[in-house]
Amino acid sequence: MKTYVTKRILQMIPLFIGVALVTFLILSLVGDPFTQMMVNPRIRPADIARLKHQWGFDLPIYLRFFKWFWSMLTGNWGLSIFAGGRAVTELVGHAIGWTLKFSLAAFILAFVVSVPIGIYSAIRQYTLFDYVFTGFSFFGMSMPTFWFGFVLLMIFGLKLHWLPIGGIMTPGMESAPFFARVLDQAKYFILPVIVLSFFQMGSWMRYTRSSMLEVVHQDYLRTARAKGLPERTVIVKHALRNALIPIVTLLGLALPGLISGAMITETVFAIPGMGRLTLNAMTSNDFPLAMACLLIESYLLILGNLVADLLYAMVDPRIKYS
Amino acid sequence: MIGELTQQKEVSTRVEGYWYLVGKHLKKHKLAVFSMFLLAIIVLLCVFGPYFTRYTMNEMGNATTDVLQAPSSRHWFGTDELGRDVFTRVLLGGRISLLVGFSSVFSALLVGIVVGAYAGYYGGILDAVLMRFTDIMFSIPVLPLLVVLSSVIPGAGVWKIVLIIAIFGWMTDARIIRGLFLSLRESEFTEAARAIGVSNAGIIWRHLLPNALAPIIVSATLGVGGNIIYEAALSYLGFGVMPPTPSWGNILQNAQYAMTIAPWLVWTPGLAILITAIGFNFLGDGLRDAMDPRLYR
Amino acid sequence: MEKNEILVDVKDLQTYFFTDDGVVKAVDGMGFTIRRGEVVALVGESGCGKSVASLSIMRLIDKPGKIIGGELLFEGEDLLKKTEEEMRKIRGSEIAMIFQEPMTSLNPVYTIGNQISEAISLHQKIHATEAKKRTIEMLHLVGIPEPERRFSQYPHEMSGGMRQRVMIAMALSCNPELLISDEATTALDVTIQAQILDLMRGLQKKLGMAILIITHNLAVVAEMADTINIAYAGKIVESASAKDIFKSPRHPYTYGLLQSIPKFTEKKTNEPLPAIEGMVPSPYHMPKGCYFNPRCPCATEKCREEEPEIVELTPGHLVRCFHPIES
Repeated sequence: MKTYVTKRILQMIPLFIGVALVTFLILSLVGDPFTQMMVNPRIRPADIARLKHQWGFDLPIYLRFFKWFWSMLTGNWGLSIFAGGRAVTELVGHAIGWTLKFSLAAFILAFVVSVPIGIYSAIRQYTLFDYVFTGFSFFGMSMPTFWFGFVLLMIFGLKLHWLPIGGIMTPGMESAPFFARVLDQAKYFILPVIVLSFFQMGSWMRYTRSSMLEVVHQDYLRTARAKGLPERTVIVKHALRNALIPIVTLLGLALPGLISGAMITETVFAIPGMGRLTLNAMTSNDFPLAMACLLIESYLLILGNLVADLLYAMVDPRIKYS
Repeated sequence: MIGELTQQKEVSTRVEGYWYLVGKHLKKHKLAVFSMFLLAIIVLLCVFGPYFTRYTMNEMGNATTDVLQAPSSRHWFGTDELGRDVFTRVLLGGRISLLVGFSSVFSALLVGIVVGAYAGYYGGILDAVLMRFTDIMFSIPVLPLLVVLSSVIPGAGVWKIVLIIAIFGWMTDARIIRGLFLSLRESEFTEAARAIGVSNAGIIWRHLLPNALAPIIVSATLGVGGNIIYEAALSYLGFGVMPPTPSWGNILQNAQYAMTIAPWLVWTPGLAILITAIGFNFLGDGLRDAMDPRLYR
Repeated sequence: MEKNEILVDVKDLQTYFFTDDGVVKAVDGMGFTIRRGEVVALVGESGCGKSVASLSIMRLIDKPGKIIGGELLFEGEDLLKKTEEEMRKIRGSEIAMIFQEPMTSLNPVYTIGNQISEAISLHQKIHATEAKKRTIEMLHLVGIPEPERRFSQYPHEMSGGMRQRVMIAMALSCNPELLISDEATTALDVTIQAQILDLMRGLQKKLGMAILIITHNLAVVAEMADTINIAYAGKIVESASAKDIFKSPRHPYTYGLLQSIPKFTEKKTNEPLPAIEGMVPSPYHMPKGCYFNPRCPCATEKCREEEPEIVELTPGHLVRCFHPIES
């Protein structure tokens, strides 16, 4: 097991470098941001040269990549152009906290709701329950996230006035006691969490249902029944444990959707997370920030996949660790 | 090839074609059949509808009487903040959204097929390199990548959006096709084709690819719905199809600010996306069931 | 326990499958008996309903299948009248079953020790350490070397023959009265097949349970079975002692089956091995009259019109045919 973990971690290193390279190349398609400054008469050519040197734009592209990648590794992410020269690390650090908080909540909600429903749908295939939730899952998979956000905002925010229509806390609550603050924030989190988990729920239900269906027709369940085990034990001990293996893969598969969904949800509900930060960086041509954001999001994805892989190795005894 | 695609029935010993059987099974999938009709209607409406509406895409009404009108017999879906007829714009936006959906899937498929086929057929270093590249592309989250691509690639046309959606969309197809080709290249009919001197390119395109058709069709059908949603999301974020050209996504871009006073601006384009996407998902699901080779053993 | 007492009496069993394309009468009026300690074979081509019959005895027929008629007497009581709860107490403890596919019949995520002791502690209500001891005993009994080490191994770490031994250990762990072996050796290599058959025969002598062997291969049961039932299209067409079946088959179908077994004692000839002409009839289009008539060399007009009843020609030898072969 230990060697397997080490091996998987070592395998990630080329992926980390590859992703960094692709990110870097895409963003260097824009060319040199300082050439645009030339036309601005208020910026002196000497300053441009100094900036060029500071950002490494006077170097050939491969050296620039290594310089950039090294500074990313050492945590020296530079200053943001759009946020008035604040450190990129500080901006990212702040944003990532929000994104993780509400993505994690959405992830857990989606998991807790969809996995049991998917399993039950498979056991009771072709019943009303199955049909209703199959319909629901197609609905979820086909729903444009942002539009679903609008609809919920219109109903619960504008029409019923039950929930706030965006943001992260009521102004003035910053200094409130801990519990009051948490409760206040929870109100702001309800809609975004539902919106973000909705898409996941749809596809997870489908996925869980089909992986459970695959297991339900396996020979070893007949063996278990032939032993005289009660149906509950057959399902819970013998079927579920096997269906769990592909479901673990799902954890990894779901992450990209979660990150993309978070970007939209943050925009709809004005949450200052990573997605919004990336967007703002792109709209204001703040490339150092955009590169850092894209890289961090990619690395989160790779780490998430690693966790899923390791979990997979834990639940499936057939994986060889050598 | 014949053996793969046809099936001898036990009793009647009648030879029924694979596609005939697929059609037969698909017909049993009520939702898929319904979706097919629904999608046909949507496509026809979007393509021909605008010729019959009373308004043109950017025709603005009278500033005081026609701005932000609720749905009525004159304006079925109401009017927007510039007094434009929303029904006309939804139909025209549908043209763009469907165009982006279909052509991005088509382009992504081309890339995916080429990468997957060559990686799977030749194996070795080529396979290793292409698949590591696929892994890397899979490790960058789609929407942030699309946003970045959209802003670094110059231009504002519809085809740019098609291009960038295709750039991220080929990896899944590539993996599916690679997997199939890996096993197909060892099969007897590949050996036979090689023995009679068919070139590698001939084997790949004429002998192996037809066997991979079923999963390609399923993935493409599901992909159209998915890409329409991506286009919408991208346009909503302001990195997609640029106004004044309407698309279902960018009609919604301003809707968020108008939803307190004009909720109809939110409903119709969103429902159009939802219904179209559901249609493609049901159809793709039906096709997957109907083409499942396990049914024809 | 009397040796000649009837343990299982299957009477006019009907198990149908209600599919989208119509009703498949997989088992349609099948009947046979198994005495205590007897080895009974149920032989027929695939699709003759033999596996469905065995699963019917366990009451493990999945949808869209359903037992719609007949009686399944086990120790004098009709299994079809039992509740699911009562049935569960019988499965695994009084009637046990092993299946064709040793590769997929064991749960891949649990150790074999876990899977065997599960059955033991379920039916015998004993302590876990006791169950483990019994499991290791069973593994030893079925000839698995190093049972203590094997106890904590997973199915994928074993060969097909070993897994089938594990299945047998699991089935016999609660001393069942009846062991059903559904093509248990079919998927194995010929040498392994012989080993498993030897093992089953040895265990039968030692433990004295009755065995119902389901197979398509008459040669498999030649040395082992006391009684052989030949099934065709959901019905029994001939039933006799193994000796009678091999020496004087009366049904043309049985005769055909026997002819298609290669005989190694004969001189090598260039003659092809005789096979029964035609195919098993489609379950959706059963022929009129005797189900075997389209393939039967001695079929007459009567065979195409009327369905024959099963009759006892000589004591203990039952045949369903208008024109039985003379002995």
